[in-house]
Amino acid sequence: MILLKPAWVKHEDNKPIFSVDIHPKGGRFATGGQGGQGGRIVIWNIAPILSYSDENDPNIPKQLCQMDNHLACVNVVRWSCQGHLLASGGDDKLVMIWKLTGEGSSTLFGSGGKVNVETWKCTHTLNSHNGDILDLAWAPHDGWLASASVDNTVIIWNTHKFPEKVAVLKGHSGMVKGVTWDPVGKYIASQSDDKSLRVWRTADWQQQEVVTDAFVDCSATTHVLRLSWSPDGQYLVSAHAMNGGGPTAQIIERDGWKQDKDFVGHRKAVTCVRFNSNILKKVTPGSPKPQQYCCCAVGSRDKSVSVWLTSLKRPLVVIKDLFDDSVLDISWSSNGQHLLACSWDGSVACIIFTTDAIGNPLSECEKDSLYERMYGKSMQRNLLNSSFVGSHIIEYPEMLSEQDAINDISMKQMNEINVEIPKITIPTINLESPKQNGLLVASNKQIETRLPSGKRRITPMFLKPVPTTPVKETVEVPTIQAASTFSSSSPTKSKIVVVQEKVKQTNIIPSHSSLIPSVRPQTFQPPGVQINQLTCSEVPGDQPIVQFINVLDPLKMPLGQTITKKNDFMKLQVTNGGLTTPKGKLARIEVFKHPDDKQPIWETYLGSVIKCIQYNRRLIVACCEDLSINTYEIKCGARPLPPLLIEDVASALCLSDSGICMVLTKTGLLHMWNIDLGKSILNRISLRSLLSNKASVSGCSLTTTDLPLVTLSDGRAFIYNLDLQTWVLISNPQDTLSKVSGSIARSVGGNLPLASLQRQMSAHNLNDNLPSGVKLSFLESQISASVLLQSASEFRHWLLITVTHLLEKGPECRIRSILDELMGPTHSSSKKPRTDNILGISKKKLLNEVLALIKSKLHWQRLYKEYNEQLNLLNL
Amino acid sequence: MAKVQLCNITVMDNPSPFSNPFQFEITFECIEELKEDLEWKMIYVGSAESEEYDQVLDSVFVGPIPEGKHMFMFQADPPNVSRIPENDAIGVTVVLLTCLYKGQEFIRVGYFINNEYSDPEMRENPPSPPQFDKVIRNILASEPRVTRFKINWEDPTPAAEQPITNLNENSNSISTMECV
Repeated sequence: MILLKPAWVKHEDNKPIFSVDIHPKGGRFATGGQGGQGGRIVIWNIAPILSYSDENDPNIPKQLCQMDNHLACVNVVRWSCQGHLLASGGDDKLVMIWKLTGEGSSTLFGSGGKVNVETWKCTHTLNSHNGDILDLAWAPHDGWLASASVDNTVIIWNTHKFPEKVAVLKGHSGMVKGVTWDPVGKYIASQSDDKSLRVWRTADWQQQEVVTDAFVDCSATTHVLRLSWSPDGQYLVSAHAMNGGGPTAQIIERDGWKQDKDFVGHRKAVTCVRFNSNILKKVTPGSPKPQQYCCCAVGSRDKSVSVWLTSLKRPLVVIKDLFDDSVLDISWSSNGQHLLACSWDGSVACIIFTTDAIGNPLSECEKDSLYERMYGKSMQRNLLNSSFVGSHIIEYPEMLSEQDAINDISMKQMNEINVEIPKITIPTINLESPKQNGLLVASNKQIETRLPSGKRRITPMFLKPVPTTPVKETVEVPTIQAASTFSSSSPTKSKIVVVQEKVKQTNIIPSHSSLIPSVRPQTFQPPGVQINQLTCSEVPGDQPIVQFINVLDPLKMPLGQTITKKNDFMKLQVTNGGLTTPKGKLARIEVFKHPDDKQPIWETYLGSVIKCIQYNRRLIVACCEDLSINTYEIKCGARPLPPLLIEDVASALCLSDSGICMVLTKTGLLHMWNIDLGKSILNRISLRSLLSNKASVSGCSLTTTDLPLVTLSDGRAFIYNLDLQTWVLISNPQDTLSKVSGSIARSVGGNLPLASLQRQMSAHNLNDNLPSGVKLSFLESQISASVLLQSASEFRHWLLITVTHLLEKGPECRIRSILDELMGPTHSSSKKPRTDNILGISKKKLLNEVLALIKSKLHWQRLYKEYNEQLNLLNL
Repeated sequence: MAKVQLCNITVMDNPSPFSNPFQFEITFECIEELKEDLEWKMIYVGSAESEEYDQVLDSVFVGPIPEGKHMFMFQADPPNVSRIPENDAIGVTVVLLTCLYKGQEFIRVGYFINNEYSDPEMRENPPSPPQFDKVIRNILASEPRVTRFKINWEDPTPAAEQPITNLNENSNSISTMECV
C-alpha cells in the first residue's frame, strides 16, 4: 500500500475540497469545492499522482480544466458511469452537466494566465431545486441522475432529455445529504438530517422502507451524508449512525432491510462511505474456492479513513490523521486499486493498493453470472432499460417482442455513448496565440448603429470555431512553453474597423430596395418590415384605446423620393410626386420587366400620395392618403377592382399569394377582400375589444390559410375565425396557465407558426407541485391553437406530447377519446362525415404513432391491445 | 448559471498617451440566444477616495446575440481631466468594465491603471496642475479582477424574484481592490 498526498492538487488558498471523483475510464479525476470567488471544479490528470516521473515531467499537464461557473461552493462532482458526462451540484442550487468539447486548450480569463488543456462545457443547467445540492448519483444505466438537496427532496432527472424530471422524491423532513443507487437498479436510497434513511422503488418512485433506528441519537454535525450501496447489491452502508453512543456506519441488508451490523471505530461522525465498484475475490489458504467479497472505504470527521472488506471482521487498514480536518468525499478507481479522498483542509490524498492486499476484481462475465444467480434474469433487463417498469407481467407475446426491441435500442444507445467517451489525450498546448486556438475571427468589421437615445449599439462579430479536429489517440508529448506568454495586452491599436450605420428612422425609404424573387415562392420575402409590421408605442392618456390607435403610424412615403424594388424579373418603382403638373403633383408606379431596364412595361399615376404598398407575384396593392386602395395586375397594370375606399388611414396592409388583401386602419377596423373574386370577406371587423391600455398591436398579418392574425405587444395573439365569426385567442403568455406551463412550449422549433407566436412564453420550469391537470389544460390549448393555425407538424407534436402526458397521469377517458377520434367512426350509421386526414396528416399514421407510444408503456398493454385489434380489423 | 461567459479581454493600444481612447477587445460566449441586448459600461475611477469621481466613459448596447462566441471592440474616449481630483491624477487608479443584462449587472472586470509622466524629470517633480499631455497610461492587463454576480436571466416572474444575497460579499471585494 502506498500513501500519497500530492501538494499540487488544491484549489486556491487551500479552500475546502468537498468532492472528488475518479473518471470511470481512469486518466482523469475531478474535484469540486470553493474557488476564488464562487464554486470551482477542477479536472486533473491522474498520471502525475500515480507516477513519479510523470509528476516531474513539465510537459505532462497536471490540471486539465478549471470551471468557475458555479456561483457558490461545489458540493459534489460525479462522472456518469460511462464517463461521457460530469455532473456537479453546489450551493447555488444548480446542477450542471459538463461535456468535453474538441476545442482544445484555451486560456482562462481572469486567473493569471492559467491554461485549460481541455475544454469542458456546461451543456445543461438544472435549476429546479430550492436549496443547496449536496450529493449526486448516476443510475447504473446512466439514464437517470439523482440529486439530493437541502430542500428536503431528491430529484430524478432524465439524462436523455435534460432538464426533464422523472420524479421528485418527497418524504424527508430534513436536508437530504446523500443519495445512492442500487447497482441492480431496483432501488435508490437517500440519507437525511431528519435522522432517517429512505429506500425508494424505481418502479413507481414510492418509498419502500424507512430506516430510523440507527439514527435516533444522531445530530446534524456533518456537511454531507454520502451513503453507498455495495456492488453486489446486498448491503447498503449509511453515513453517520450511532450505536451505543459511538459513531458508526450502519450496514443495512437488502434482505428484509436488517440492521444488525455496523462499521465501528471512528471517533467522530462518518461523513462518507464509498464501495469499490468491483466485486473482489481472493484465494484464502485452506479453501479450494476463492472467497468473494466487497470492499468499502469510510471517511469521517475524525480526519481519518478506514477501508473494510466484507470478508474481514476488522478493517483492512485505518489511516489516522490523514488530513487536518474532516474527510468529505472518497472515490475508487474502476480497477479498484486507487482511492482518492478529499478534505475540508483543501487537500487530496491518494492510496494505492496492491492486488495482494485488496484482491482481484471479478470479470464482467463473472459479475453477470453472480447477478443472474442472485436476482434472476429479469433484473438484468432492468439494469439496461430505464423505461422498463418494475415488476409488471407481460400479458401479450407481442408486447414481449416490443420490450425486447426497446431493450435493443437502449443497448444500441449505450454503445453509441461508448463511442463518445473521451479518451485521455493530452492535446498540444500552444500558448502564443490564444486567438488562433480554436477560434477564427469571422471578419474584422464591427457594425455600429446609433440608437434614438444617442447610445451606440454594437453588433458583435460572430467567431466561428475552427472545425474541431477529432482528438488524436496518440499521446503526443505536449509542448508547454513554460513561460506563460499569454498576455491580454497589445501595444497595437485595435484592427477592428468600426462601420457606423445610420439608424433607419421613419424615413426608411432611401435604402429601401428589397428583392422579390417572383419565381421562387419559397424564398418569397415580405417586402420591408416597415410595411406589414406596425411600430407602436405606448401613449399615456385618458382615452387609451382611441389614442393608441392613432399612433399606429401609417407609413410615410416622402415626396420626391424614388423607391426601387428589384426582383428576379420585375422591378417595381413607386415615386410620390413623380410627375409635377401645373395643377399639382402625381404619384407614379412603374413596373420594369428587368431590374436594369430603363423603360417600364407599364406605368400608372395616382392623384394622391401613396402611403404604403404591398405586392405578390400577380398583384400590387397601393394605399393612398385619400383613403383609397388601388389594385393593379403586375403584368399589365390593369385594375382588377375599382379603388376601394376605407374610412381611415391604413396602418397595416397584407396581401397573400392567393390574392387575399387585408387592411387594418388606424382606428382599428379590419377589412379583407378576395381580389380575384372581387368579394369582401371581412368588413369593418373591430379589434378594439382586444386592446387594452397596456397592450398595443405589434403585428398584423395573414396566416398561410389566409386568416387574419393579430399579435399584441403583451404577447397575446388572435386569429379571426371566419366560420365562428369571432376572434380566437391563440396564445396568451399573460395567462396564469401559460405562465406555469409555458416552458413546455420551448421544446418546439421557433420558426413554426405557433411557436413563433409563443416566443414570449415563460421559460420557467413547470412547478411539480401543480396537479397534472394543469399541464394537460395547457397541452389541450396548444392542440386547439395548432389546429386553428393549420400547423400540421405542431399539431402532431402537441398531440404526441399530450398522449405521453396522459399515459403517465391519465385520465384514461381522454386517451380513449383521442384514439376514437383518430380511429374515426367505425360504423357507417355515424352522422359525422368520415375524414381520413387531420390538417393533411393521415389519421392512420397518427394513430400508429400514438399506439407506438402506448406500446412502450407496459401498464397500458390492455388499451394497446384493444385499439390495435380494432385497427387491424379496419385494415382488413 | 450565467448565460454569458467572458472568454477574454485584450487591452489594445497599451501603454499609450493619456489622451488616447481606451480600446478593449472583448470576447464572450453565450450559451443560448439572448432576447435582449447586453449593455457594457466603461467606468474610470477618478479617485479611490470616493465614487463621486467615477466617470462613465461610455455605455453601449451589444446585440443581437445568438448562441456562440462573439467579439467586439469597446472604445471610449479618455476621462474628462477637469473632473479628476488633482492629487489622484497621477499614479494608480482603476478602469472598470461592467456588463448588464436587463439592467442587472452580472460581471465586472477591474484593471489597475498606472498613469505616469514619460519624462523622468517630471516624475521626480510632478507639475501642478498636472500636464496630461505628457502622461502615459499603462493598464495592468495581465491581472484583471473579475467579479461575477448572480442575476435573473429569465423573464421576471413574481415567483422567481429573489433577493441577490451574494451582492454584498462581492461588492466588498471590489472596494478592497480600489483601496490599493
